[in-house]
Amino acid sequence: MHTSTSQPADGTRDLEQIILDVIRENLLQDLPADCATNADLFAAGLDSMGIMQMVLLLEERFSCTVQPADLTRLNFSTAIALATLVRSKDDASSV
Amino acid sequence: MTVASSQMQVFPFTPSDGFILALDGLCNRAWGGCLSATTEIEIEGEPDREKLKWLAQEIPRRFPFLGAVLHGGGVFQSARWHLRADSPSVPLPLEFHRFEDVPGDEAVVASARALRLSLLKLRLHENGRPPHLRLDVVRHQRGRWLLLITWSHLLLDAVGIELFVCAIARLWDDADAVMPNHHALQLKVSAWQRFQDSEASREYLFHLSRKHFPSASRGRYAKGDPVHLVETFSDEESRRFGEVLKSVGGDLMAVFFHAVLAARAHRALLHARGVKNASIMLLVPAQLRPKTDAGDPVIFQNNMTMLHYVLENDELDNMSSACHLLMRQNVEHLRRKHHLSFSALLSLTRRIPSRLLLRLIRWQNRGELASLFHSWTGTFAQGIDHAFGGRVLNGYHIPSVPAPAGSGLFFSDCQGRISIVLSWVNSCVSAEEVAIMRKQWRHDLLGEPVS
Repeated sequence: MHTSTSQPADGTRDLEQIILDVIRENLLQDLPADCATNADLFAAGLDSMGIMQMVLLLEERFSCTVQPADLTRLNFSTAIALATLVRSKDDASSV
Repeated sequence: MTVASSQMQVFPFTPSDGFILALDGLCNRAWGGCLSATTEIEIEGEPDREKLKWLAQEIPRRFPFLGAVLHGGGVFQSARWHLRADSPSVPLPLEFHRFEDVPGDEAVVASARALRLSLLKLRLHENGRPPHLRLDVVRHQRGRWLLLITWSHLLLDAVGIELFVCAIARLWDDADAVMPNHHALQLKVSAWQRFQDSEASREYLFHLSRKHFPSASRGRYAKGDPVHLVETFSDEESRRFGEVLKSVGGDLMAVFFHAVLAARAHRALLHARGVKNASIMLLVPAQLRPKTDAGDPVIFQNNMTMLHYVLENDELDNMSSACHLLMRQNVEHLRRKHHLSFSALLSLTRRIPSRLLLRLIRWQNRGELASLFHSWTGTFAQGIDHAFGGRVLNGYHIPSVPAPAGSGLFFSDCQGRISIVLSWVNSCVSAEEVAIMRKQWRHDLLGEPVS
């Protein structure tokens, strides 16, 4: 599944929420349904294996390529940070 | 959990337990010991002897799985743990030591290294019987002491021991603290399904068998003692270490960065032996750790799978590009679900007797298991900064390694200080080769000249 990253996928949900759904579906099944987009994903259980699975998910779902410089704790700490990373990749590819 | 009788609990092997049992047998063959590790924690202040004795008594009561006995493992029966509910709780072995220049009545040890050497040579468990773990305390000058926890890899893995350290540190502070219990693995898929799930891994291993990745033991069984070198970097050196990592990528690249450091050190050893164009294959553990009913990560047994990373000789010339290559290999492994597929394969091979399993793996890989063993355990014990009555100054693991591969390079980080542990079988690596490997990692991390 590829999701446009420039606009909300279904017109109502923003990218941060979509990323949270992807994380809940694939990595952290216990993530509460009302989890805030600024919630600390490491505190929620994201580990080193989960980070690399997240890289794969970002590449498959959002058609972006994660570079070594992108692999920072800050970029993977919250859904907001991840959405910012995806958007920056979108911007870079459209230049 | 399977209940064989009202008094007996049976814990099946996890998928990786069978492979670890095979490596344990290799260690027994090499020096008569077992696959074990010493976790060393340096603590500020003076040890509280009475409380440590209490801890050694309390731990087996609070962690009954430490009394488990290994059963089976032959042609007709797969290995598993038996735990008798009515078996008496036996205190953990606990010994007090001091350095020669420290006054006291404890046994004198020449150095921490000398003590570790003797601990790693021990056969902790005799035929899989407890104790699987022991404690040693060393007082040394300047108001510091060492807690050494020596543990059998059959019962714990590196992440498990760190969870264990955190748990017993809580117990030290609060005798009523609830300790995580252990539960038996439930494999819910059929053997046929697991065989199908293992297909991607089998294909990858077949592809890998075309490579030649010589180890320090040159693909042979070796007799010899386990030895090691611990290098703890100063705060300033650790900071410079961090700068090198930044030049490679973000802080989460550490796992690949350390793997490349290990591969380059091993390449330096191979070059010194005149082997110029070999592949380097690292077998790196990855966590597959279930949770207990209470939501705690499981402490005991081996809860991991393995990822195989391969770098060619020329690919290691540049650290940044080598790290990037490993990152892409990791993404590809996950895309093809190699981590789950290899775990499925391991779950099937649990039933194969250890010697036969090793023969099969080594037959496929020209005698080898990997170029060397390697792991990066990250921040020590979840960043614990205070334990057992004092400030934690450092913490790392010193594992023994079997031959093949005959050597291993391990990294950990405690309070921002990096420690490197090179472990080897003394007949596999010479003193000159150890110096060559050390020069290589100091060159890579600190810019020191190689020659």
